[in-house]
Amino acid sequence: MIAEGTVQGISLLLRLDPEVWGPVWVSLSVSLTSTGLATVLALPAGLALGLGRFRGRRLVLGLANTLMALPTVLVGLLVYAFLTRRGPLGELNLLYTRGAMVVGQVILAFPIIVGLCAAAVERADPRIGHTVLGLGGGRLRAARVVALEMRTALVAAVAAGFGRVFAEVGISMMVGGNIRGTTRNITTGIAFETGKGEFARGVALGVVLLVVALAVNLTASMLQSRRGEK
Amino acid sequence: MSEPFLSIRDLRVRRGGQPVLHIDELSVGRGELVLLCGENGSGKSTLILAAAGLLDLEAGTIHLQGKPFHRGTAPAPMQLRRRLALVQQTPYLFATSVLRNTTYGLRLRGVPRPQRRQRARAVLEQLGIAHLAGRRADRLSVGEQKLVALARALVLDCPGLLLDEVTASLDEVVRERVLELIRNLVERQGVSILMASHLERASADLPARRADIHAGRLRPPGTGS
Repeated sequence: MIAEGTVQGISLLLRLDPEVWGPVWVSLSVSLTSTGLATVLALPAGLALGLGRFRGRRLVLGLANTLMALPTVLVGLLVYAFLTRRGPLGELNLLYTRGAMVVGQVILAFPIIVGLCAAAVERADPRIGHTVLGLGGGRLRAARVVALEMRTALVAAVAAGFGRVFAEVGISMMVGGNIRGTTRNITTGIAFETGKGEFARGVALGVVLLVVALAVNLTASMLQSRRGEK
Repeated sequence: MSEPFLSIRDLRVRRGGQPVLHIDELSVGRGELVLLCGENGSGKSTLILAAAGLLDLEAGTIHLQGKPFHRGTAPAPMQLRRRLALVQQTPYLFATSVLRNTTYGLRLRGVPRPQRRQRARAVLEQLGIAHLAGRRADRLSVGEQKLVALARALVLDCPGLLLDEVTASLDEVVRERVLELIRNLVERQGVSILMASHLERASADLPARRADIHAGRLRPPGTGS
């Protein structure tokens, strides 16, 4: 059954089956949007946590590191509670839309990018900041230069965030609702198709998930090793 | 009597909870070269970084040209920091050309591109490394990197310089050229310099006042090293 399903799954992929490529498009668009938004929010926060010195910094850093392992169903539950019709943000009518999935995935990716980004700049050579400050630059300039010098590690942090949201299922299922053609993505699609006995379609979606996850992880490791060689 | 260019009082620095520097008093007059001598690990580099306003101070104050420059948490205010240029013991050069590295501080000050390139080329020429202008700075030899870092500081024309082991890793001819340049800066241009060196003999001919440091504390004058 596995071999037969795999062959049929690959055939569906090659025949550009809309029931396979539709969820792939949803996954890519939602996860890229959420990773982009999370990056915009998390990079400055990560830099501030890694380079700044303020009371409670260690505590916030510890919190970010703990939230890196946040269960996706918990995030889904939280977002659901806010977006449900009787919730505080119910009027936005976001529940069971791609917007709701983006909100949940931003919450999931944010601490991952913050934590990894802070760890990267914290490890940065102190001479970088001293060079900028010692030649008359300001603190913001020094932070920018440190970020630039550590860019491969920061890109790897963003890649890790993308990898996590692309492969999650809990948030998408709870606040996306797995609606065909709208919010059904790769992971909810796999669960749904397998549940109704369409094993081949599940395999086809699984192959795409695996290829994208592999590509993201390989890129991240390549960037990390390039950094190590420097 | 005029105010010293740089004045350090009751300076205390801790690292990892341990006291690493305790300087009761140290000053560098206008147009004076103070040679900070001590063995490896004696606290020279820490003192240079603290004097640059880049380290958190547990206690003490640093005055620059009579004005409060640094106390407590680093970094010191930018406008005052710009009166000093720092050359670190192991300089960090950006992964770009020698010329761009040399013009970096001028770019921070908003000096237009033609002027900064012209000034940088003149300093590189003075240090005998004009031929390296187009080369990747981070791929040069240690000695060449030191010279680029020195050029990057000299091009700023600051009234004060903090030099950490700038003559280490240089061959004898180049070292003599750098020492001559330092002598000129002090004697002809009135630049105030605090310079750390563990190679006392190499700097013996300089018109310098010597300050010996050991285990993070300055030795009283006349007690030897």
